[in-house]
Amino acid sequence: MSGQGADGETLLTAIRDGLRVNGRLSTTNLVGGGIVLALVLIAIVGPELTPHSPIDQNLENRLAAPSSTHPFGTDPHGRDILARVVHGARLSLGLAAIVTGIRLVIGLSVGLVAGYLGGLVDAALMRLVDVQLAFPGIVLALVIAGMLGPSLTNIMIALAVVGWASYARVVRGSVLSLKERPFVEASKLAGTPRHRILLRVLLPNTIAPVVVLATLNSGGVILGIAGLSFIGLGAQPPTAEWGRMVSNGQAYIQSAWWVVTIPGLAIMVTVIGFNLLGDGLRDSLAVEEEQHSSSRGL
Amino acid sequence: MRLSYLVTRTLSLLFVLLTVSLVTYGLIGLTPGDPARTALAAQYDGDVPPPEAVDEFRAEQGLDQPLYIQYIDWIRGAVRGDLGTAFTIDRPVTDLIVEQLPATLMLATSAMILSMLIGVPAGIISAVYKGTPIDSVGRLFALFGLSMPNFWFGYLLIILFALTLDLLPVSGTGSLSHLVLPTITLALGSAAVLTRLVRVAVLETLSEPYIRTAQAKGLKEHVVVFRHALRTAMIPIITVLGLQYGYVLNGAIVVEIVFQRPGIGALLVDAVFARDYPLIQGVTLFAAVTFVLLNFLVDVTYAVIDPRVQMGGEPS
Repeated sequence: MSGQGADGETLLTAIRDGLRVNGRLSTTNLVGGGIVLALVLIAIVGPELTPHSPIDQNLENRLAAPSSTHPFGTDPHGRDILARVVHGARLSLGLAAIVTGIRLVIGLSVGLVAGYLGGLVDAALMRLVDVQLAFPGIVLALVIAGMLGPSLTNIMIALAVVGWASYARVVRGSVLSLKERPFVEASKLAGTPRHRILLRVLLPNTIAPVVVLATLNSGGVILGIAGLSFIGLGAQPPTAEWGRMVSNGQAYIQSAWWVVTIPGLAIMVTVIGFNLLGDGLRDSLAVEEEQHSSSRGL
Repeated sequence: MRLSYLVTRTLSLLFVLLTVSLVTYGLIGLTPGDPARTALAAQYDGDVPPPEAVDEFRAEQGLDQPLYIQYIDWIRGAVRGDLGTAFTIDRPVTDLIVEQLPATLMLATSAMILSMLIGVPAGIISAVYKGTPIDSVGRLFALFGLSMPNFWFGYLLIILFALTLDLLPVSGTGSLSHLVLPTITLALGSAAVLTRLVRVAVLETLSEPYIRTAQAKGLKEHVVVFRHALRTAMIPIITVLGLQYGYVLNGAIVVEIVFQRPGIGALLVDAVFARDYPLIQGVTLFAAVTFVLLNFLVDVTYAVIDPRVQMGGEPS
């Protein structure tokens, strides 16, 4: 894989091959990928299609049971839960993409630099990684988000800050093993500048493990966003956010089960999709398993 | 175990603890606004506190000192077990932690035991019956356990066992029956992680040459699994248990809120919303140190029970 100038067709082939184990599309990839794809579609077009507003209150129709007009019922403010779940999908997937993106950028940079330069820089950066992995992420994210004040931006910052270390570690590992390989040595001898070796030779070759990690991680990020919003940080009313919707329903758990149940179901299905796809990609891309316990967010 | 390994590991432990304390204290720098004002605003019912009161409070709490002096004072106290006085309740932070600790420890420990009772056998059975429907059930359980938000799972349990079947109390504390639903809620994620890891560990050992030999000798399958394979597979499993306890302790935060139980998690969340800085810093430091020490113990135990560990080598 040269990584440069991949045209549309080779990209498609790469994706198709990436999803196959022994030439066959694996079930985990098929189901996981299907769920994720469907959710992405819902997140993009869903909010335009829902007939009800996710925010407008209708107190005369509060806590209505699921019916043909409101398939998932209404919440304590008379808002359509289907509309709120669909808008919540856009919010959760969007935020998860941003958080994962920030984690990727930090983790990739740290891992590439540490692995390539080695020596003192490597030692210093890896101690930083050790510290982050040694720190309970959930407590740190809670405290950072709490200190910054309740808002979606702040939980994004909190989750990004506590989650980049595993990327750095994975990337550093593959850079270390690639560094000694003939084709990297050859580019060095040919006088290729250092930044070019980093970005054009090493980076493309670390993509497979990073894609697997990012996919598995997205499930954890979704759980993290929901968990922090459930506690009361993160999304503020009237924003339609899954974790917040669950906490709004807790007072009505006896009379209106759907208020708590439906948004939680949405979270679970999403996380299952990412976990399945991540597991499947790991098998089909033949990436070795890192410690798995970290894939659980909050 | 080589002494040099223990020394290296202890030095790195001290470094991590130092950084953790710096980060914990440094978090106060993230906060918009002045801690003294924020703290006093609560006492004055949201009114702007008079400037004299703010100055007095600053001097009393040492907030008029430069940040690094405050940090040194704080860490000096922390070493002696003094984490300062909470803003919201005029009591030592250490006392508050010590008061809430037993409830959290009880919840986390019972959840850990339950997740072991489920995860270890489930993982072994899944591995032994690899590729069969039994294995699929085990893997599905692990997938669902990993993917369910634990606060939501808690409410599902409440709906089923407390409201519909009326078997157990909805929330609160008091009797042993109050502990059942929180324990199951907290145990689920950890049981799922254990199932996966135990399954992989047993599968790996089952493919080792000496196991093949034992099977070729015609030893009964259960003898091979229990006498030979499990003994080796237990090593990674034991270390994972240590790490999981750390995760379970942290997961207790959300579970305590769902079931309205007192504990360290509830203490931390209340402190965060009240912006009670000494209390937040104290609880965070306490949680981090516990987590780091558990990690340390796990690493050292691993080195003791598994002679194959490359000591002093590069931590991968």
